[in-house]
Amino acid sequence: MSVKHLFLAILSKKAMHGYDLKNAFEHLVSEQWTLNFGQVYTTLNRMERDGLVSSKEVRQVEKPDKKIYHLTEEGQHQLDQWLREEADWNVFGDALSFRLAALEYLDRSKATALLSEYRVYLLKLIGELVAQKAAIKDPNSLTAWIFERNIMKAEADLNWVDLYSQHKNSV
Amino acid sequence: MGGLVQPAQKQCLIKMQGISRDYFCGDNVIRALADINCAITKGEFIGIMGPSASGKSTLLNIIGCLDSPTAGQYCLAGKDIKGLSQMEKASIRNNVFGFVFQSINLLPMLDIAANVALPLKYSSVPKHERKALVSEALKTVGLANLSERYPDQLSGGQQQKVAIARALVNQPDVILADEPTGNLDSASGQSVMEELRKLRDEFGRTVIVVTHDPRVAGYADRLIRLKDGTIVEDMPIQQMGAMLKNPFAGLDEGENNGEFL
Amino acid sequence: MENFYKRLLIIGIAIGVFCSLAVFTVGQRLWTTTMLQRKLLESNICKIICSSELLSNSHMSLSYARQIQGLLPEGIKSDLKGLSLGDAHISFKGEPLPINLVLGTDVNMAELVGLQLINGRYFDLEDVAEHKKVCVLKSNVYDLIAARNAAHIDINGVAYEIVGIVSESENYDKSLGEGDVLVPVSTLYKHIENTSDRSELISQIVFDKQAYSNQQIHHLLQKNARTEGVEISNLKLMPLHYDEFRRNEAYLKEMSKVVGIALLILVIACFNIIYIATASIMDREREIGLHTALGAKHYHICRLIAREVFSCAFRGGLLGTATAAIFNTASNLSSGRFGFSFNVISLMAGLLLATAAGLLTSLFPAAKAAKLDPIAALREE
Repeated sequence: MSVKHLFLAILSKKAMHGYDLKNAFEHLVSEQWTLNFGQVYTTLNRMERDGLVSSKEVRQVEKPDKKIYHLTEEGQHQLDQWLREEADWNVFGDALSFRLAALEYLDRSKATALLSEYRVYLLKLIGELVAQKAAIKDPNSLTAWIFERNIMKAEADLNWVDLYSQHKNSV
Repeated sequence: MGGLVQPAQKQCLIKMQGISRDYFCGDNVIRALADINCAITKGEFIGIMGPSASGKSTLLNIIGCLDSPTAGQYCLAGKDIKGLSQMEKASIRNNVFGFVFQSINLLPMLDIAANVALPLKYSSVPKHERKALVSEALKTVGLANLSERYPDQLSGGQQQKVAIARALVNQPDVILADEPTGNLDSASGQSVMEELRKLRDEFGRTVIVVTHDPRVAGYADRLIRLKDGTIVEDMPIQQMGAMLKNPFAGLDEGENNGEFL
Repeated sequence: MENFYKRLLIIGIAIGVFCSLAVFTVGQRLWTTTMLQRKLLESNICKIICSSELLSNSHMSLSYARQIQGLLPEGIKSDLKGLSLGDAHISFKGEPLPINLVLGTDVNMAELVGLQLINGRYFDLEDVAEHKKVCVLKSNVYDLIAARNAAHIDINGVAYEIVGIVSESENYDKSLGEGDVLVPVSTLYKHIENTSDRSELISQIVFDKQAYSNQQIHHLLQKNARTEGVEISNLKLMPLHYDEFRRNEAYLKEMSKVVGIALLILVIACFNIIYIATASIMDREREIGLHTALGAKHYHICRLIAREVFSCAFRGGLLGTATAAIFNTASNLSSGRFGFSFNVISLMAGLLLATAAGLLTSLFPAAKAAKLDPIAALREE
């Protein structure tokens, strides 16, 4: 689950060089996430090293040569595998759950403080997600819907924090 | 609760010091608000959040001069509200504030234009100027073409926008909205909130929204969280990118770090 | 305002106005009757009757009546009235006429009982003394036969000479009855009633008392009776229209009961209107709270409510006035009088009453509406 996999998906449709790949990627996420060239080429180099893509130099007049990246068979294989992968749900799989458990063990009052810090964080997070979602030109694009998903997740988390804090206060 | 960053040059519109509001129910005293201290600057977009019965509507009613505090001082534009007559308070409600409610409260017998014109009836605006003000307010919320319809011919979101136009028509300094998206689906709610945000951004109005919907954080400059009648959080919200420079952060390395603090 | 409440309000006000108009109309009649009463009592025309213990109005003989006439002060015009009516077959040249009542009177009765002589003469002393077969016709009967050169009509197959024609004037004494053919009272008893023992009985002495008061007349009668040695202990002096006066008095008593009931209904209707209007305001609490929040002052709210109640009152007033007019016309028709009871005064009175009722009943609800707590009204639960 990484930028790598999205690169694989883009290249499986059409071989392209780094600049076009960057644009295609940004278009895919509705310009909500911009990559710098350093990130693009580091990732591509790593993928080439692992044998997922291969590159070919194309000579250009009056311009530096450019590298066109192709998907290898191994790359196609890994893309197919990733698309088929089942999502795993790790119950303690996020830092809050672990930290909460640890603080509850060490110092209960700090656990309460952590919760209220987390609430503030969630509110600010929701604020930003909502603002960014509103900035997306097409409100029905997949990216907008993915933002909606994240807002809903954050809202659910906030709801949980409120309920759990309430419970903790009443005990 | 502190946390107020008030730049000295900005005009302080609403200043509340030690505001309390008790309701007397037989021998019982119900404290809806306890020692509220809060200052609101002109042009701010404030979200007042909190669970039900946390006193947020009471606070809004006091700000809007519909209710009076039992104790404390409330200054509006530097003027103490205490001791104003009912007539003066009605004038303030009419000229300084614009109200938007959860249940949209349009009058079904009147068409949209007449609904929007209601506050003008209670102000000193001469009759011949009213029409222009009404169409301007409807234009602001993008419903200029619906002025001859009746409320039941409009969707919930459109009705709430009409209510916003009604709150705007007297060109008040402050828009007070009590759960404006409470009866709307999320898409209509979003466009209503955007409309309110526009009033702040383009017209410099102060907007105070009472809600339990955390999404208000997406539009507000500041969130005030109430609990049991006291302010438990008063925090500024910085919009756009402070936290989410890279919304897919952490995916780069193939593992989810889940760092949030 | 909710249509349901509006309708209730209009009906309530209509009932109220209907009652008010009933009060008004009956009141108008009472007033007219009272004025008539006064006129009846103030009239100069009086009568003397002979009252026995059994009958309030028994008879005296012609000679006794003439004796009493002589006791009256000089210059006072008086006349005698017999027991007036008798049944008879009346025909003209063998053809029956659609009348069968004959009225017997004494001499010179016409003026005193309100009959106006149009043509010819009235009966004289000779006619009465000799039981002459002469008659006077009312103009409506004469019109039936005038074209045929009438000089006589037949009563019970006997020819009577027509000596005069009269018409009823405004003051016609209705206690004389509907007789259209008049004959001398002695003739009526001798030839038509055919009861010789009742011959020449007179029921009352009618006179114009002029400037004398009743007491003065009474006093003079007693004084003159003592001098002349005439017994007058069972005579009574009273206004000519005394019977009518008594009937009116009973009518007034009945009508004041009706007015009382109508007023009571009006008061109840007013209370209902107050109740309905208040209930409708409680129903519209939220709307009124909204107006307050939008900056309406107390007088704005009062005006809003008052205006609505007034528009209802106006419509209710029209409805009530129309209903009352129909009702009055119907009751007039059924009692035999004809006429629309719908004049400008009663229209104005109806609208005035409706507006007054509206004002009276809207005060309390409007004040209540202005006092509503906008926060409670706007609360979201």
